[in-house]
Amino acid sequence: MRRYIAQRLIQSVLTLLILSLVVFVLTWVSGDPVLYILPPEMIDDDSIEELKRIHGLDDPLPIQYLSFLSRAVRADFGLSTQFRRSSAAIIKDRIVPSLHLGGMALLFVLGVAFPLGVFAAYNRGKMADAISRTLAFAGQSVPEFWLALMFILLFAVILNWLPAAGRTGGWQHWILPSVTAGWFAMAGLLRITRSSVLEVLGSDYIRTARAKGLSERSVLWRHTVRNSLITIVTSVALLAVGLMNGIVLVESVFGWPGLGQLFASSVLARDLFVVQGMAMLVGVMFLVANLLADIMYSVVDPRIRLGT
Amino acid sequence: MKRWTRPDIFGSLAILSLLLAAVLVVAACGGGDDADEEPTAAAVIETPPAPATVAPVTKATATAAPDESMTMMEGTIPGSVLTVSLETVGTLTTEPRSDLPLYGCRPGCLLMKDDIFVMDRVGNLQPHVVKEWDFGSDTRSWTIKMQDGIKFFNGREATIQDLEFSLWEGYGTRPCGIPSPYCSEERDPMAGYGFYNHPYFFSTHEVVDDETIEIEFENPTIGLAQMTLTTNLDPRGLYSEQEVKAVGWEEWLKDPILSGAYMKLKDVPGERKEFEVHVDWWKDPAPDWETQIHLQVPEAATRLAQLASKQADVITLSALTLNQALSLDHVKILQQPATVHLQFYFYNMLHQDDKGFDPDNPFTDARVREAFNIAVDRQALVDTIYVGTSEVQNAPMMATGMRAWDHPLVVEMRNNPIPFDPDRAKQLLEEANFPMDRTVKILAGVWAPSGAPEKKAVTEAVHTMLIDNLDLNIELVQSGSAGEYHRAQRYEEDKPAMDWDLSAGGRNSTEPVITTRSNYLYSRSVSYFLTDPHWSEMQRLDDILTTTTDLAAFDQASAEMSKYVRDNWIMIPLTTNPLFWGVVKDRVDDWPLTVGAPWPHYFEYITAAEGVK
Repeated sequence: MRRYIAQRLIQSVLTLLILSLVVFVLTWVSGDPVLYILPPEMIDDDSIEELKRIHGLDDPLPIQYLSFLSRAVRADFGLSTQFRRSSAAIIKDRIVPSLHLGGMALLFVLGVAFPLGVFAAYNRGKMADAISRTLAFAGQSVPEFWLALMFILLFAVILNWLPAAGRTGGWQHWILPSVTAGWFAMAGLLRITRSSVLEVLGSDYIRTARAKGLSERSVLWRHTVRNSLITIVTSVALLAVGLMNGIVLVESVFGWPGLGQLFASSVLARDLFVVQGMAMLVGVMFLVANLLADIMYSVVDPRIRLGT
Repeated sequence: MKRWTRPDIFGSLAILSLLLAAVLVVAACGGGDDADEEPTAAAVIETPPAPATVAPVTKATATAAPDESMTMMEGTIPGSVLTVSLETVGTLTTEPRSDLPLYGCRPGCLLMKDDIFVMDRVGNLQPHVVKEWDFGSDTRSWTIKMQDGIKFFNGREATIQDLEFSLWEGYGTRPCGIPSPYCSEERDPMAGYGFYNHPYFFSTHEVVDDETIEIEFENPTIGLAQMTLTTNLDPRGLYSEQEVKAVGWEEWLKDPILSGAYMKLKDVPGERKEFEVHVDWWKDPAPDWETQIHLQVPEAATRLAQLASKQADVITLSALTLNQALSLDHVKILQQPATVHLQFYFYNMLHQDDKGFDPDNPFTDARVREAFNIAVDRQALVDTIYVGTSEVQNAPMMATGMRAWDHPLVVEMRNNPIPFDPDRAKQLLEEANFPMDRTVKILAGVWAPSGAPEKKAVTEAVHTMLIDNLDLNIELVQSGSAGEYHRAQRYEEDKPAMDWDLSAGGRNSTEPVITTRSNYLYSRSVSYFLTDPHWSEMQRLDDILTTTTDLAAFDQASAEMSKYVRDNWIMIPLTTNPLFWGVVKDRVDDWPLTVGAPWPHYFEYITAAEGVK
């Protein structure tokens, strides 16, 4: 197990190195960063040369990459051109709201999709199953942007039950952004849970369990659901990261001051160093989620002997 | 055998499904609105009348009377909160030498600082921190007197040294306050701050007594006070010298001690800023609202929902969302007139000394530029995108109400609109032997400025009109403006300097004096692409604008510049449009909207009729 985790960590570091190279190269592919840093009225040869010197942008590219890597390890991505503050500090300010939103959305996803998926599978072919499948279909086909606006229209404008935007002011502020952020993932997990449970329900050992006279509760939860968890856990880990990506839009619509909104505004403002930092951060999040999913395999299924 | 029972989640599922269905139904019904009954924005919004004339840019005065046109309130209402929903609350930067202009800070910073002067509705200076002033016959020798009794947030009374410090920060020759990517300790590109390229530096200054400073400027300062000593453009204001020096700019900025109407209470990056009233504010009467909350809500539809549900008292609107706001009974629209100009710039008019100069470039032919101009149906832009609320820009850079807007040359242009004539446009291209197989490239900046939310729609509409009416291959390229400006200029020696033919959706706000405006053409960006004789002529006029002390000459040069731009088809002027604010009627009574200022000056001038939360 330890060996496996060590292997995965080494792989993750290599992946991060490749990611850092991609981020660095893309920075230059999109144009000379100096030109995006300087405001139009200040673009002259002297300013360009001075700025290059200050930021080491006149060094050869390999040196620049090593410098970028060195700073990235220390979470130092440079000064935000938009905010005149350290990019890392700005990103740090925005992580907590995003984690809050992501966490609440994940709770919503797990709280709805998992029991509903199990329930639908267990009642396959019945009305409840049809409704679940419809919900899953709607969840995956309704764009988050549109859904967010519809939620706002219904719950904020027509019913006036919930706030349309913002984060401060009570738990009511969390409901619409969380549900919207988790909507797509909820639908995905619902489908995965249903199909995974269905697959296990049709297996021989479940038939054997029933033949032995085990209670339905035991058959479902102890033998069926537990054996379905591998697929589900893997999906949850990836969906969780995908969910963090989706909050770019949700945060903009609901005025939520997280990474998503920062990312959108930084791209529009060509805030190069913040965008670089966030690209690396998202990469790290993906790697950590994958690692956690791998580790969770052994927790949910003792048959798996990792690293042996 | 005990049967597994259904978990009690079916009810929740049913409720969720019903809610979704309800949302779908509401959406399908369009909220019950009948399109035929929608009010027309242009018919409903009252535009403040344009001034008959504009007062001199500089004047001496000894009065301290406030502008009577401003609706003042009677005092702070205890417990009152005003919630303002904005596209961005920006950064809270109040450092006067910062290279980050006040654009990123409005309107929060405006609440916290006191301007040296304020501007009234028509661009006249009014006393504020400075109660009396004399700019001298040549506008270079200033004598200014400071108000008594101005107090900073910490209770300390402001002194003449504070005013001296504040002005020196703006116009002295010292390194900028906070190092930034392009303003470092090592080098000072801003030393001797120039407003754009116009140098306004002290040559000498002296504190004469406890209330008077005398300053000698190196150059005439026509328009300086309006441009940078009010809230119009840059973060100039009264700063507390002792407090800044005690902790340094960087620390001071975290919790700035200023003297304005409101103090910073809370700043949550990207979410909100909260301000509480400064009880010692020297200006009478005190602000209406005990607390102001500025929320950052980038999505226009969400802001509209906040207004509809009264979760916000004030929101920023665009013409694109105007009709929805007008359909709300409890909402009224405040319109800041003639605020933003939109135009396309021709890039392909390189000066002959520039790298990449091509004498055969078709855009050096005025007939080509005219063809592009008359292929655009400006009135259609006004009628559709702006739902009738904007004006066609027939006199380039001359918005109604700004200085020299009523000059005979300008009036003549306004009375003779640029025609819309696609057939003539095609004929002109043919006469000019325009290569019809050429792919014309339009550069569109991806950045949508807060003052021009309709920019993207206008750009796309003009792009379509040019394709349809000229039968040309025209490519619209989204790109970052800053870099491409430069690439289009003369930076890359080994490549043809000119990648682009047109710059889409250029935006000016209507600063009240044309010296600022002229920079857009002369010394800032587009002039880089002007070939002679245009470049020389613009330079000649700009020199007059920045050095004359004769207001008649100033007006004449302004009007001539506008006419020259139009007669030579140097740009494609499109529209002059207002900014809109949606406000809840019973929360906000009136607002002194000002011609020329990109943002309303002071939220504290919003008056409360009733209905304190």
